Amino acid sequence: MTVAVHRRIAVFQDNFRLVRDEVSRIIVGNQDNIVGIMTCLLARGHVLLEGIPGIGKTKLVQTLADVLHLKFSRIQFTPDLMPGDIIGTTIVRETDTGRKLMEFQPGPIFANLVLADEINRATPKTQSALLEAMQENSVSAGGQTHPLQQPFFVLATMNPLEMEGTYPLPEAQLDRFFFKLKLSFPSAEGLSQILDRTTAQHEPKVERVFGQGEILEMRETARSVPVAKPVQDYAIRLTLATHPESELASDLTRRFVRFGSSPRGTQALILGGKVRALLAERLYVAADDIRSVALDALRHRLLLNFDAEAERVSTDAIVEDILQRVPLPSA
Amino acid sequence: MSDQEVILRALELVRRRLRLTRALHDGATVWAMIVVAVLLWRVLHLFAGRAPAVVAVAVLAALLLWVAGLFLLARSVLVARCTLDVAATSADARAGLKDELTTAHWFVQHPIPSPWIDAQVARAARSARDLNAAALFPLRLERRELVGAAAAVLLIVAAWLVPPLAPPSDASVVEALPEAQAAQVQLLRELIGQTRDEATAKKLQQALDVYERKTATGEEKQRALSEAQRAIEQQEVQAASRREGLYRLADKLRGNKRLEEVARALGEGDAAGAARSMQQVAGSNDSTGHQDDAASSSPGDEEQELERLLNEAARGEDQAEQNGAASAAGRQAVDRLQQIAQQLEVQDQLSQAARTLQRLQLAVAQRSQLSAGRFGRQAAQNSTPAPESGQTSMPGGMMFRTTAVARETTASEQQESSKTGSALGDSRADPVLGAKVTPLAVQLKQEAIAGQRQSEDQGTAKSWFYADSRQQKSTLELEDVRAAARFTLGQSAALDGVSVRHRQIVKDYFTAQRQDAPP
Repeated sequence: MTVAVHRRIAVFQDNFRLVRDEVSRIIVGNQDNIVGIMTCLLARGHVLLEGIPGIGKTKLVQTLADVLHLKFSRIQFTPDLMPGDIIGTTIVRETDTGRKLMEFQPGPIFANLVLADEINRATPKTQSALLEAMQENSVSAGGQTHPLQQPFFVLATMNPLEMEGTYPLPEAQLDRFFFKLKLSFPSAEGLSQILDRTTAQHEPKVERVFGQGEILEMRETARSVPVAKPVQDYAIRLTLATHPESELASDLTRRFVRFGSSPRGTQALILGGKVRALLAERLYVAADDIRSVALDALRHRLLLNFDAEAERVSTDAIVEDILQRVPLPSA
Repeated sequence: MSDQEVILRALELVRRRLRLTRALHDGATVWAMIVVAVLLWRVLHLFAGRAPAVVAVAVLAALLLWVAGLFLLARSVLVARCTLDVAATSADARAGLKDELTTAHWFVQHPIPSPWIDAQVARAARSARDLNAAALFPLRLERRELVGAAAAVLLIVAAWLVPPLAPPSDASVVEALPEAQAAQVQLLRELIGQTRDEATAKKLQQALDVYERKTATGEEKQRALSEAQRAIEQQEVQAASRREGLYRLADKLRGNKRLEEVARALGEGDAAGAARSMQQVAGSNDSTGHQDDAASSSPGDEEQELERLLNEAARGEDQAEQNGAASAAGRQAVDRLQQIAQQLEVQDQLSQAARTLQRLQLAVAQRSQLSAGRFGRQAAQNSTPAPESGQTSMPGGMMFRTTAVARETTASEQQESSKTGSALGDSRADPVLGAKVTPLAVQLKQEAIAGQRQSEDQGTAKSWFYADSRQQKSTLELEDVRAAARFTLGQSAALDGVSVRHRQIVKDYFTAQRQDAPP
């Protein structure tokens, strides 16, 4: 039994490494974000990528889809995009015998890997079309519920809210994203590598390393990692510390946070910690694993108040403050 | 031995080691508290002689702090339980095991059938076997703790080598006194050195003793100073009486042409100048005499004796048979005048020092809110404003006028009537009803001494080197008026006793009386 466990861990790590290395052939830098995206994929979550235009968000997702050999669809969110454009619509179709049937035409959301590009350029109504799909892995249309094929993984990209022509994502929508990853501008060396790879005669190509079955197996492996109560309590304390009315809340939280993280945040901490534990070749989740995913898992789940907006306090600063103040299980 | 047993055994070893380590550090803390207590006790002992009250307060505060520290230490020892969970987390933290033992111990305590948990426990057991509790938790103090202990021992040794500080000496007490009080002590010493009267010197010495006594209260100091000041004032009264006697003597000698210079000097209060003038007079008489010790005689006897000697010296010029006796009397008069001059000079210095002492006493009293009232009642009995400066000595200090009071050379309606209405006292009073009425006797006296007063204002009065009191001035003026009145009455030729030049005044007076009388 123990040998089987170790073998599964080894497979998990090998597959993970394969994907990461293959994506890195196209994407320069951003190793943390590649790991973050893979963590979301293996923890059955969805990811929100934030960064200025032209930084490689779409390229990253496209590359991942190419590597994973999954059904991929891309939805370019625009202000006139309608919910039906995403989930599909019911049409009247005439059979050979002349009968007319109502038939559901699935939208682009029926894919394994869905790229919701510039999601914050669509109206909140259209953004909400993703809610059921992301949480329930199914789509209701025409009185019928259509299950989505697994793995179902939404990668949404968004521009910072300060950009023109963007709509803020609803809190319920934001909460359904497992991680929110921020893509930073590449360094000079990174830019040089990007130019080398994209301006030559031949651009590098990626190969499909594995497909749907391996991903589902990796997901099962990740879910199997046990979590001891002290570590779980630590994740709970971190979540509670984001609530201003909690006893664990720091002064910064009480001052600037309007609403704290939902229980989905705690789930993201534990599930993300499990994936990170496997990557670190651990058979259990340590507090360090929780800490390593805390920023990505909690930053978009905190709703700040007006004071924070006025004083330009970011959720990242508050989460880091919480990580500093909440005592570790070993403390 | 199963993996669970290996883990539990390793954690038990770690727990024992933790207890030992904690005991060591608790012992070090107790040792540090004892060292601090001993050091504090020694330091307070060193200062016990210098400031016992401060030391008592410090001892109490230190004792309270020490007890509080002991209580906190005991509480931390009792509260801090060393469980296997604590041992597991401590071992994880020290060995960098990333919660491996903590998690494994929890899984051992809460067994769940899972191959993953079994694998994790097996891996944790391997880590536990490799765990060296003695290396992870060494039984030794930190370097900074050792340095602190060594420094504490050195401090204790140094504190024991330093001798206790002696109580402060008298001189240092004087130095420690506030500036004003130190000045008072210095001034008292100077006054004792200057005064020649034993009673005054004794009272000054008593005041000085009280002032230098460490336990003397402010009230006792003020009382002693007041006693000393009264003694000095008594000396001043004697000096004033002596000056008055000289003035009277000068008045008596004015008719004598030989002693004219002597009389002038005596009238100015210049006893030394009178002695020099008398020496010139006596120098013309070739005779010898003996010195008479008049230091112990009273001012009244002294005046009579001096008058006698001066008259004898003056007569010696006219009568040849008495030339020898006159010469001796002249020398004695010169000696007496020189002694009086010295006494007056010393008394002047004493008076100046006493005034300085009074100012300092006043300043100290004003600083002390508590004693200000007492001192004010004691030192300033009369709170009537001084007519010239407007200053008023009040309980608690001196009230100074914000503006000067205008002085008038002649009496005005304001001065004759009451001054009310303004705090400054210079508001106009109600007009006096009726005509100005001056008693006849007063008008006569004023007319009689007008010439003399005018000459005094122009010359001699302003040249006096001392300021006589109002009582002395009034007495002298009264004597002048009486003398002038006697002279005027003697010169009157009319039967009604009114002189010719005063007749018009008398007539005007009675005319005014009749006009103002009610019908």
